[in-house]
Amino acid sequence: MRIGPWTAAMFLTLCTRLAFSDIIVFADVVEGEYPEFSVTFVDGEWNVVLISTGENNLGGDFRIRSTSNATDTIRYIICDLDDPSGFGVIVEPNPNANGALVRTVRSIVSTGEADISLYSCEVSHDVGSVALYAIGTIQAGRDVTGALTSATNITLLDIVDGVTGNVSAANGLLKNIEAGGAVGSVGTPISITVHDYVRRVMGATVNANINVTGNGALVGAFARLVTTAGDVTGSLTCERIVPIDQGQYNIDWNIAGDLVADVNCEWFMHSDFTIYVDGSLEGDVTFDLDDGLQGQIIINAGNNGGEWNGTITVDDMTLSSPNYTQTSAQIGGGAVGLAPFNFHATNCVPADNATVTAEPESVTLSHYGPVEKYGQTTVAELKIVRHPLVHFCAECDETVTGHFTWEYAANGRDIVITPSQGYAFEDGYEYHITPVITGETVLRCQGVAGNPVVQSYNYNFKVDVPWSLKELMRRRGVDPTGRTITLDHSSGIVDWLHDRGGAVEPVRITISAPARAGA
Amino acid sequence: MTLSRSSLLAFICVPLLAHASAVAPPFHSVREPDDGYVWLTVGDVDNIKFEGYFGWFAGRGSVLYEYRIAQSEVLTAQHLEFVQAYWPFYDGDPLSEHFTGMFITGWRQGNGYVYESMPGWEDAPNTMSMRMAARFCNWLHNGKVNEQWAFDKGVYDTSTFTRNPDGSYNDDYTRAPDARYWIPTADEWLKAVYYDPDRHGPGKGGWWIHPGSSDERLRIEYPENGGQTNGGLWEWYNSRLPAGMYPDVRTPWGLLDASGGASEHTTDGYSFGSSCLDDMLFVHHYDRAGQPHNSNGGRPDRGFLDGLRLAKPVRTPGK
Repeated sequence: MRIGPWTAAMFLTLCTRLAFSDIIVFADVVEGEYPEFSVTFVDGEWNVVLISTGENNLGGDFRIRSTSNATDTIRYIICDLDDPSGFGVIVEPNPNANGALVRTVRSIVSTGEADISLYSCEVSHDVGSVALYAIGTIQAGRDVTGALTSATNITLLDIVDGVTGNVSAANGLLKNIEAGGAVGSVGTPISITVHDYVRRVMGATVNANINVTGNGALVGAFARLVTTAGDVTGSLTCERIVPIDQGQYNIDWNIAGDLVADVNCEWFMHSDFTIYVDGSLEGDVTFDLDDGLQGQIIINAGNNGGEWNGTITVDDMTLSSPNYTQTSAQIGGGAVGLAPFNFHATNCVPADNATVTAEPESVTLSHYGPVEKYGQTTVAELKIVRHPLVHFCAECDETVTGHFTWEYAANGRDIVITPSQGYAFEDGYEYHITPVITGETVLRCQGVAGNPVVQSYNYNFKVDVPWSLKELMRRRGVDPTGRTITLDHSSGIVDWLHDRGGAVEPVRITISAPARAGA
Repeated sequence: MTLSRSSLLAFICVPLLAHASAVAPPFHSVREPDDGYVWLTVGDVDNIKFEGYFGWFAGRGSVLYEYRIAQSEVLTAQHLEFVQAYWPFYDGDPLSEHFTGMFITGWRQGNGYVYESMPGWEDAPNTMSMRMAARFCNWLHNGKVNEQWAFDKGVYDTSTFTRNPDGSYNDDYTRAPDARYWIPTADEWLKAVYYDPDRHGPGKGGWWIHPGSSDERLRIEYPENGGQTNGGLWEWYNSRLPAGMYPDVRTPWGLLDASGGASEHTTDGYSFGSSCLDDMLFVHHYDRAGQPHNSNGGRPDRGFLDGLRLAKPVRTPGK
């Protein structure tokens, strides 16, 4: 029979309990080994010292329980072991006492050489400081009041109230902090220092200086930040803001109040990321690289008067609030939108007020944030009007909405408008595209509370192709080959000639229609 | 007062010798085309009780009736259907992970929300809170009717899902006697995972220590590297951990992924089994027979690591 140190069927269990005490310590070690530990009761609180898992240091786990629910406070659990195998510490409900919980653990520390992992710690009230090799799950019915320091990873902090101590996984990762109350406090932020990544930090408010220190392909990432009731203050520094699980999906920051914290992202924010700030942006957001802002930031997502007061900088380009001129391509492909969204004039294709010299196959109407149609499918949410470039008469405005179809781009911000068969963005016209913002069918903001309609705007561009006179005549149905050509104003050629002066081919032209006044 | 080693009260427990992993006995599986789950029948009624593990569930694990239990945990794609159906009735945060689980994402669109499985995770077990697990069972029991009542009752009475000013919960997870689907009890779960009717020979039942009909810890690795469990294998940047990754690692009754995947709810106030989301250091600890993972009873409205493996009667009530 071979017995290894971790042969599953071999255990030695020791239980210690003072006649009048309520703390029980179990040691789960290899048979034949005699663990050492001490339990003392001083000034109304318990002191637990774990000394050895046995003479041969073959490792094990220690379990600590209370027999009386929520009455016992443990001042410290000291792990003074040099056991090279390491061991685990578990502070758990007592199954023999209706799940009685330790009330509070003030401190768990290691003073020896062994790698000690806190598998789980579940208490009815508070957890103080913990400094161990690894931290699994901490569940506190009230607060975490001390510093949590893991030499490797922290899996889960599930706290009913708040977190007031610093959190450190300086060589590893932090998966989840979820607090029903405040993480840190305004003016007294905690520090959260992690190397690899942070999956989620969530609290009623978050007041923390968060630093994800890793640099490299698989480290330095921060995923999700959530507040359920208020602001984020402090700071965040990381290499990337990215979704976890490598998915192409929306996983977002949801900030119930203001983003007051300064955010510095050294590399990029993923294109599938959206930061929703229900209130105002008060802090400064910085992306160090010119392709840093790949995702979406929405300010005033709560649609309650939030403002864009902080500075957003992408590679030394400052985005002027709220209608900045940098294109999405210049800043990484993303956008910042102050709700309700305006159209992004310079990001449209063609740009607003531009003149194009070729009839475009499509145009892109771009916004600062995601938009959507709301209403009847048969009623358009955009209105497209054109008028001839060289006719100055109100009656010349022609609504041509029906000549076009459009689709919403994957980014949600852009609407790509394409002529239907038989139609075009014709040369010689100025086009005006406006959103419908009243009525049953409107263009409205996505991701914003109450889905307000977009701002009223007028997207304009001209199509002015430099045709030759002959080509223009041909396009307008006028035979250019004859020696005498009859034109009337309807072809637009007279105005074209008027516009271009005498730079035309030598063709005798008889104008049958009366000239315009002043011609 | 300091206790010396000599004054300690010592309880020495020397369990039976370890054996190599036994060949799993034949098991019964039934795929019912109308619900999408493969069901395994757990028999050996009134089996030998579990001796306990540090007092955990001593004298438990004996079940006095046959029942069925799902071969796999509820998958993200299956959970997604529920999330999409229930969000209009949900009075909590529709984007909370306690509602969507870890592998479903949602976002605001129009006046509502849109949800989808995270690509590549559709066939992985998803996480959910105890309360969501209960509503999921109600919904299945009621034939997936998308109305408020179908989520509120049928198996579990969700009117008991309230919280007191002192933070305690009033949730009652007593299942209706005619339940067509339910959350396993701790006895049902422990038996389905660790109890083997032929553990010590034909007809001589007993208990294994680890899932997969083994007293040895399962090897944490991908299958192609000889792995037996994905407990602890989740990586934030690159992991695909579908259900049934280890088709040869089964409980004596044929369950897959009793280790890894998601830790699994029971109605006795605790979840069991390791999770792919655990730190690797802790996987063997949570795989140990009788060792609970999370106190889901203490936090029924929260679920980070816990998923659901359904149970049902051998014969559907009324059929």
